[in-house]
Amino acid sequence: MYGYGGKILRVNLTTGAITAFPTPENLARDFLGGRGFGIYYLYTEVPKGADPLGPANKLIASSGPLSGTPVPGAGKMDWTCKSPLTGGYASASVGGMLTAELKYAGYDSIILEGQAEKPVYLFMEDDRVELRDASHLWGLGAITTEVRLKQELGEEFQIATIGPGGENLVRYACIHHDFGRQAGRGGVGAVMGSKRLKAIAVRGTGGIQAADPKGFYQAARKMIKACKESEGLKAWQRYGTPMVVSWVQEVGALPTRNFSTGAFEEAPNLYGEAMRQKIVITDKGCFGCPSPCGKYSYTRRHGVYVEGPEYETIGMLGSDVGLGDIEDVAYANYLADELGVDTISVGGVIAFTMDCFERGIIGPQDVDGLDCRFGNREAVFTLIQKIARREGVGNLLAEGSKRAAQAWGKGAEDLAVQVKGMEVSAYECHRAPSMLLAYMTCDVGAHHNRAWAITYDIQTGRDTITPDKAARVIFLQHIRPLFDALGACRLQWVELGLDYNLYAPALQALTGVERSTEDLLRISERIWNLTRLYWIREVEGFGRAWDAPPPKFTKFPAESGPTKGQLTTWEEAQSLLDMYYAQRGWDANGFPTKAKLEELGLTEFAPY
Amino acid sequence: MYLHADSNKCSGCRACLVTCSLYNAGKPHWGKPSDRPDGSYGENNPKKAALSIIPLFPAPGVFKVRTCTQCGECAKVCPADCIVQTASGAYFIDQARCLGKDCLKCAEVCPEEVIFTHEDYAAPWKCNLCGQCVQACGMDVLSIY
Amino acid sequence: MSIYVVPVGHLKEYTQGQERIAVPAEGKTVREILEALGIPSEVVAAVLIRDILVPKDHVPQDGDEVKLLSVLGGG
Repeated sequence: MYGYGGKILRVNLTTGAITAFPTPENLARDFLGGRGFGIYYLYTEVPKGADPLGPANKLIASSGPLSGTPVPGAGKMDWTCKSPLTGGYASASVGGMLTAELKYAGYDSIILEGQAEKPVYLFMEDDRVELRDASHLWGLGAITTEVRLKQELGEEFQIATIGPGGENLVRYACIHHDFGRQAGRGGVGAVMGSKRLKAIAVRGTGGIQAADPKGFYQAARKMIKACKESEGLKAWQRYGTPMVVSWVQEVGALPTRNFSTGAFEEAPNLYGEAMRQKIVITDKGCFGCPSPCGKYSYTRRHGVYVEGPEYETIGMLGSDVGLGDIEDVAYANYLADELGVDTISVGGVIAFTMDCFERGIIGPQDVDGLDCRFGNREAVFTLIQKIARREGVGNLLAEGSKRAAQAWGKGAEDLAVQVKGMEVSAYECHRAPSMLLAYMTCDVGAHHNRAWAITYDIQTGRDTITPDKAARVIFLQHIRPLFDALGACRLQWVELGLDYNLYAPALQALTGVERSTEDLLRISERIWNLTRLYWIREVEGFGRAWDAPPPKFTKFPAESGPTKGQLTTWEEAQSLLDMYYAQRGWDANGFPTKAKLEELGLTEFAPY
Repeated sequence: MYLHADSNKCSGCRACLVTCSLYNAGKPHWGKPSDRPDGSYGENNPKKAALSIIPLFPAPGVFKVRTCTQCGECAKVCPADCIVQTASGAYFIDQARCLGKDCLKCAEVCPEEVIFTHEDYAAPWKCNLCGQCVQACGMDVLSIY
Repeated sequence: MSIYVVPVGHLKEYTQGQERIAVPAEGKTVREILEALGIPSEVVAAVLIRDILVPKDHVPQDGDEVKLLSVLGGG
């Protein structure tokens, strides 16, 4: 099959059996790759009711057809499994080099099954695939493990690792790759840890064949040229996502002190140019990216290197926990990366803890004597470490803010800013209807990657609760995750204004399969609906109630800043859901209708 | 005239490598499509490119780019005299006349380690100044002068 | 004595399609210049002079080209 690596690898960690089969053509046709392959194998192979941290769960790592080619941003890999954090669908995307190397080795996906008795790592060098002893690596940090394996195996190997967070089954542990990138959300690292798989190391010497190499070359060249001519390119290269911290502050969407408000007094120290001056060394990019957003940095105060912090970490381990010094945020970022926990969730959990502490719901005796007031950086640094090691209060906090809130009670449940058990990422939504709807309906829990809709609220007005906002969220939920199925980054389209209609012809020249942009968006809609069916099947009583907004945005008016005094009512949030379900062809409980499933070719998958 | 690289600007993305290979890494010989009788292109494979990127991580956290400076040392030592300077100034390995991977005196003497081999080719290859990498790079690292 | 305002992409909707607008260098902040041109500040995500970010209370100097990027960004 042109454009693909060619095989799917199946690794049974219980028996040690390693097999490979050709990537099915109809799977590639109907689900493309990346997260499309992930949900297909998750849905069809993981039995209903599987324990996310047990041997029946599977972790599926998938490249996409565009990965490893000269299409701009061709460096994304998807990791899919049943989530130990939410109990539903988890899909986390990581940029870097591994997605390309996997295809050069001849594979499109790795299906990881079962559970090893002792720590192992997966070694892949073209056709040679082995499980090797990892006892000398178990316990090491995620970045340290990568360094060790590159020393042992060679610099050309591309490595994915877990840190102590994944080993200790922290429910939001992440998978690390390439000195600073993560498959962050939903606990994919914990699933890898539950299988006692410490790392994957891949080297591939093969190539990806295009159906029409000259045509593909020209199509990719056209896209690169458009990126290089983009008026925003130089700014994006210099700053990456931190470029928008000042704008988010201005419009009052920067999460501050556990989403109490949307503007942080110390925000200017976290702005893009300040960060650049103080800590940034190198603009670091994923495979084939002309607009590297990675800001590889060094903090002199703390003496560590870190790729970041990027916007999300500036929000969640900066303003949301009250830290206003970029060097402290960088250090917190480093700790989370080396220990292997998602910076967004760990920031959200710590902010939640601080909020409970400041309101007297918990006291020092509940947090091992720590002073957990907002802005106490030592508390932030200490809590990240306790969580990764499940020490003291870290053991409870490793369960996520929803479960910690249930344990503490006394109103703590209103302070956990989460949807479906996943901590909300860094856009404050007291009065941002499109963005709030995006968080309510995101298919992995509260994450902005599917629908970054805050700009729509700013452009069209924060006050309106209108059908166009639901339409906007739905459109974004189709176009953005399409990139996750193609194995490429969306930021060239989002940030540089690259015409997204250029991807279909490039894909066609690569694969030889004729598809329009509309065809690709329909595949994305199919994937979206299948992930919804997965939640319905797996979570007892799943439905509308699980798309609920966090109480922080419906019960607690914003305390200060541009959105002071504002909130979104429960009724308004329900009204947004009504509009959303109707436009999606779902019933009033958020179940795809039979007609919609038929339209998308998903009837055979329906659990009802 | 040769391919200059300002490593300070490199982001490590490897667009140059995969573009080089898609253009040049064809059959039966490595080189520009116009050098092949059927004008065919190559494949997406950074291990078949004619420059290299060396990541230095976690410290000092930078990328080093190695390119051919067209110094001509390889041509001097080649026992088959199959490395010839083309009109563009590039020293080009004529893979058809090369003695093969049992020789590789060119690679041994290369000060930049930019003579490459791969199991798919009987002979090594090197940069031919085609300039495709320059167009692919988004960070203005590469230029030919 | 002029400052040149360069709205990028969608921001040209606020300037009737004009790509480069000369405004007098009168010691006004970027924020004040945006207001005078009728460009809502909250749709301008970033302000750049020589591709360096400046805050909206910065006062551009004579001859500066002030590039305006529309709402972008994020993970």
